[in-house]
Order: sequence, then structure tokens, then C-alpha cells
Amino acid sequence: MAKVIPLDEAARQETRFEQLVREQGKRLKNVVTRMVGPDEADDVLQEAFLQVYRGLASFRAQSLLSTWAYRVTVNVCLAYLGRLRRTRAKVAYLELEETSLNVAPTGEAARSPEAVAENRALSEVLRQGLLELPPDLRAVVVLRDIEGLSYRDTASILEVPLGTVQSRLHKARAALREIVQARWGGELP
Amino acid sequence: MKCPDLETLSAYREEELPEPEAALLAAHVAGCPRCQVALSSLTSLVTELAALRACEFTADDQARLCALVTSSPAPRARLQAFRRPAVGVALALILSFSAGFLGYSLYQRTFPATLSSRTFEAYLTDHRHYESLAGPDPDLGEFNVQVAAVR
Repeated sequence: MAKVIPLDEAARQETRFEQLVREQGKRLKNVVTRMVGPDEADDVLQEAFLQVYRGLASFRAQSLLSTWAYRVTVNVCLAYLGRLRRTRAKVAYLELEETSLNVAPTGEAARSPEAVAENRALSEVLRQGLLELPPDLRAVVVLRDIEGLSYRDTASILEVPLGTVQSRLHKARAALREIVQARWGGELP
Repeated sequence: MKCPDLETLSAYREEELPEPEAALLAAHVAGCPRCQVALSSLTSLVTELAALRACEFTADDQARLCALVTSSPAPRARLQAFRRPAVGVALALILSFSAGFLGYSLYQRTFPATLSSRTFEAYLTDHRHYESLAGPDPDLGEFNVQVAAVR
């Protein structure tokens, strides 16, 4: 029930894939890193892009290519987290990844070394807190609050109603705020 | 008015609450230092989360992902028609009918309802031979009926 794509079509898919890697690679890597953590991010990202490549030939322009690539990536992350949960493996890490050093604090937080250190500590608490959220809540926060996608795009990527996105987002924010209060020692500035 | 929970405050912040409720909450927040702090804290949370967007995507990352193309077989297009439910159901029906027809044909060939005279004579000769050795075979069904009719 499958047909082999002719050579010129395969070359076209290859070019399309490389363009997708260039244009969306950074954002999709960030999604994967926030969803599964930095330790497993490379492997999961590779799996996601492999699925994107395999699915490119069947992709129909019912949605944007980037939205579809997000959907594939998030689904790969959720499947990975599901496998992890089933095998009762524990995701436990809290290490300063190289990329975290590139997070530039903005505004007031950027002014003093103490504020920079505090900001970094807060971002670590948030990173860790994010990884402790249930995967469905985590996905909404990653897409909406971190990636800055619209509610509509988030709903389309996760294939859930708009109301579900809103409700999950508010639940996730409430949970994250509690985590910050408990571990960072007070209200956010 | 009681202080709202964080989910409601978050919905209020995103301007998702319906108007009467939003107006009531706005009035409450204006006079409630605790809710003002919670709201401000939520705003900070969203700002901090947006800062987590920063991520390094090196040339090595890009090369590694592009190399997937050479290390994996060429993608195959699935025929979209087969993914539609109606087409799937139609295919299943066709397959079921075909299987049924094939089974019935095989059954008819093995146990024909009526036999041509030449075939019948051949069967009868064999049958008489085996019947003389082993007695009537109850599994022969229709054949026994026709043998009895001949007798």
C-alpha cells in the first residue's frame, strides 16, 4: 500500500527537509529539551526529525509545515515520556546545561551580579519544575509560554480543543508558581 | 468576594473570563494586595518561562539532523485514499465477500450439491469399493442420499 517516490521527488523532499532543519531546528530542539530534559534531548530530537523526514512525503498542506513539524515533535516527546513512565524510569536531573549559560537576563535582573545569579537560580527551578509537570500540562506550557505560540496553534499541534489548552495552561502555571514558591523561597519578583 | 484561585487569576490575566466575572474580579484585585501580588507573580512567571526559549542550535546540530537523510531510506508516500475510513470499510467488505465466496466455492467443489452423471458414476464405483471395505461413510452426506436414490 505504499509507492516509492521517484528520485527527483526524493531529492525535493531532501531539500525541503534540510530547509525545515535550518528554519525550525532551533525551536524544535528547545521544545524537546523542555519536554524531556537536556540529557535525552539529542536522541529524542533525532527521532522526531527522522519521523518528520519519513512523514514529509505524506504531508498534505492542511496545516503549516512548521505546525505539523511541531505536532510530530511533541508526539515523539509524549511517546518517549509515556515509555519512560511505563518502565518506571525516573527522570532526575538538575544540571547546568551549556545552553542555560546563554540565557540572558533582561531588565532589572540584568543589572547586578547578584540579580544575575538569582535569575539563573530561578530559571533552574523553573526548568526542573517544568519537568515535574504531567506531560500534557508541560506540553502546553512549552508551546504557549516558552515558544510563544498562539492558543489556536497550540490547540492544533496538540489536537485538543481550545478550552482544554486554556485550562491546562492555567493549571500548569498554578503548579509552577507553587513549585517556585516552595523551592526558590518566595514570590516571583 | 473571596480571593480567586490561581487558575482563575491566570484566566483573568489572559482576558479569558466572561465580562461580568472579569469586572467583578478586576474590582476585587484593585482592592486586594494579596491578589495583586499573585497576579504580578503570574506575570513574572510567564516572563521567566519565555526566557527559557533561549537554546543553542549549533552547526553540528544542524549537520547531524541533515545527515539523517543519508542514513535512512527514502521516505515513502502512503496512499492517502487508504487512510480514509469509508475506503477502509469498503475494502474490508470487499475482502470479506471475496473470502466468503472463495470459501463457498471450495466447499461446493469438495461437497457438490449435485454431481454430473459422469462424475457420479466415477464416485459411485469408488464408493462401492470403499463401502465394501469399510461400510457407509456418514461424512459423505449428499452423496449418500444420491447413492440411496440410485439403489
